[in-house]
Amino acid sequence: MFAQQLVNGLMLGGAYALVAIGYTLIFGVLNLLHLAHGEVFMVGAYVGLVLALAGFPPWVTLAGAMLAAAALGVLIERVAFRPVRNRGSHVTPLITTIAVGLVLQHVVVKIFGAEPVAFPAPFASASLELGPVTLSTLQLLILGTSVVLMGLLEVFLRSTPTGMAIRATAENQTVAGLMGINVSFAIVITFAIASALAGAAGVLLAWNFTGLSPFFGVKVGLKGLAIMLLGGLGNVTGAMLGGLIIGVVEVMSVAYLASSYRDAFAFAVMILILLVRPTGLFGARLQTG
Amino acid sequence: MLEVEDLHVSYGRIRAVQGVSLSVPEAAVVALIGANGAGKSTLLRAISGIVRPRRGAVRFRGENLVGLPVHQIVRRRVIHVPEGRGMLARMTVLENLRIGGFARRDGPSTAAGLERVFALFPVLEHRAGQLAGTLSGGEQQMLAIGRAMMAGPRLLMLDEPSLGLAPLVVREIFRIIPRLTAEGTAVLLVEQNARMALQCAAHAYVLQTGQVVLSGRGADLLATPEIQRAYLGTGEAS
Ligand SMILES: Nc1ncnc2c1ncn2[C@@H]1O[C@H](COP(=O)(O)OP(=O)(O)OP(=O)(O)O)[C@@H](O)[C@H]1O
Ligand SMILES: [Mg+2]
Repeated sequence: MFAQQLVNGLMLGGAYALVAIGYTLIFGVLNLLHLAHGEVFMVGAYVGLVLALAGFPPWVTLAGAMLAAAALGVLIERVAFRPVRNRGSHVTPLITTIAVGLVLQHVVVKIFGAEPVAFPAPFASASLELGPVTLSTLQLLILGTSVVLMGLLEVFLRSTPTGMAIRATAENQTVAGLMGINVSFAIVITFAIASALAGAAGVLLAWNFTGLSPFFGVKVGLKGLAIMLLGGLGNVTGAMLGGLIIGVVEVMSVAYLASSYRDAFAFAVMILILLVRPTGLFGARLQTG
Repeated sequence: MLEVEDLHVSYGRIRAVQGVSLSVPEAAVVALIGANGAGKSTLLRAISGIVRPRRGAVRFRGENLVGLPVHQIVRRRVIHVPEGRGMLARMTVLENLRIGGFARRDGPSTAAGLERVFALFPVLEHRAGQLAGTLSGGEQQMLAIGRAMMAGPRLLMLDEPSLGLAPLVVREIFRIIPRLTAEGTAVLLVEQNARMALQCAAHAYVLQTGQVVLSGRGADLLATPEIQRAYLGTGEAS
C-alpha cells in the first residue's frame, strides 16, 4: 500500500516538478514571476487534446504540446516581459502576465467551452506487477517522461554552451553580456524551455486525470509557484525535488487522510517547511546541484 | 586601433564623462588614471556598450561601436574586465574560463586557450573545479584576466586590476601585461595605483570630473610635479 502510494505520488510530483522548474528558470534569469505560466501549461494540454483526438500517437501529442507551449512562452516574453524589462517596477510584469493568463483562459473557453472535457487515454494500458506495486504502462510513461525531461535539462544546463549561457545570464546579465553572450537570446531560449516543460506536464497530468478544463492551470500553476519557493528560488534541482515531495505528500494525504483536503494538506506542508527554512529546502543560491 | 572621440555619458542628470577623446594604438598599453568618481569606469562601460553615450563616437579599427549590443562588441574582441572582476561566482573556475571563450568560435580550440591560461596562472588549474566565488581576491583577478584571454582580445580593458590586492599579487598580475602586448593585444588600463600604471604604459591620460586634464607618455607623467602631488604622493600604494 505504502510503496504503491509512493509510486503514485512520484508520478504526480514529476509533473508538478516540470511546472515548477519553468517558474524557477524564468525567475532565475529575470528575477521576475511569470504568472501566466499555469496557462501555458493548460494551453499545452489542450493542444495535446486536439492532437490526441485527431488520432496522433502519444509521442506526437507530447511533442506537439511542448512545441506549441514553447512558441506561446516566447510570445509571452515578447508581449508581457520585454517591453517592461529594465523599466518600471517588479510589479509590472505581474500585472501583464496575469492579464495574458486571463486572455488565454478566455480564448480556450471560447474554443472548447468552460466545462471539463475528457482526455483520451493514449493507449490501452496494461498493468505490471512489481512486487507490492502495480504500475500501469501509462503510469510508467508519465513517470518516465518527466524523469527523462528533467535529466535532459540537467545535462543541458550543465554541459552545453547554451545551457551555460543561461546559467551565466541568471547569475549576472551584465557579466554574461561581457562574455559575448546574447542575453536577450538566452532569455528567449529560457522561456522556450520552461514553457515546453509546462506543455509536457500539461499532457502528462491530463493523461493522469483523464481530463482537463480551461482552469486546469490555475491550481497547478499555484502549486508550481509554491514548489519553486519550497525548492529555493532559482534552484532547479530544488524545484525537481520539491515537486516530487509535494506529489508524494498529496497522494499520501488522499490515501491516509481525506481526499477533499489534498490541496490544503500539500500547501500546509509547504508553509510549514518555509516557516522552518525560509529560503526553501535547498537554498536560493545555486542554479543546479 | 581604438579612437574615442568627444564622448559624453550621463546617468540621468549626472554627467559622468564630458567630452573625452583618447586613442589606443595597436599592441600598446595606455593608462587611464584619476580620482574616485572621475568617470574612468563609465568610459570603459561606454566603450564596451554597457552604457550608451549621449554623444560622441567609439571607433574600433575604423568601425563605430556606439549603438552595438554588448555581445556584438565582444565578438569584435574588445574585452572588458569590469571593476570588481565580474566573477560568475556560482560557476566553477573551469566554467568561467570556458564561457570566456564563447566570444571566439572561430579561433584556436578551447583546450589550447585553457593550456595557455593555466601556464600563466597555474593556481587556476589547481582550482579548476572550485566555484569562482570561493577564490581569494587575487585568484579572482587572475581568473578574470585569464577568462578575458580566452576570448583572444584585440583590445583588453582592465578596470582597476590591483584593487584590494597585496603588492606581491599586484606584481604577479601586472607581469602579464607585456606578454599580452607581445602577442599583439592592446591594453587600456584603468588604475588608482597610478605609479604601477604609469610605469608600464606607453601613453597615459589623467581624468578629472569626466574630462581629460592631462595626457602624455607614461614616464613623462611620472615625472610631472602635479601628478606626483595628486596621484603619487600620499595614500596611494606604490
Ligand atoms: N549607475 C550609476 N548611476 C548613477 N551615477 C553613476 C552610476 N555609476 C557611476 N555614477 C556616477 O558617475 C560618476 C563617475 O563614476 P565612475 O564609476 O565612472 O568613476 P570612476 O572614475 O570609475 O571611480 P572609481 O575610481 O571610484 O571607480 C560618479 O560621480 C558616479 O557617482
Ligand atoms: Mg571605477
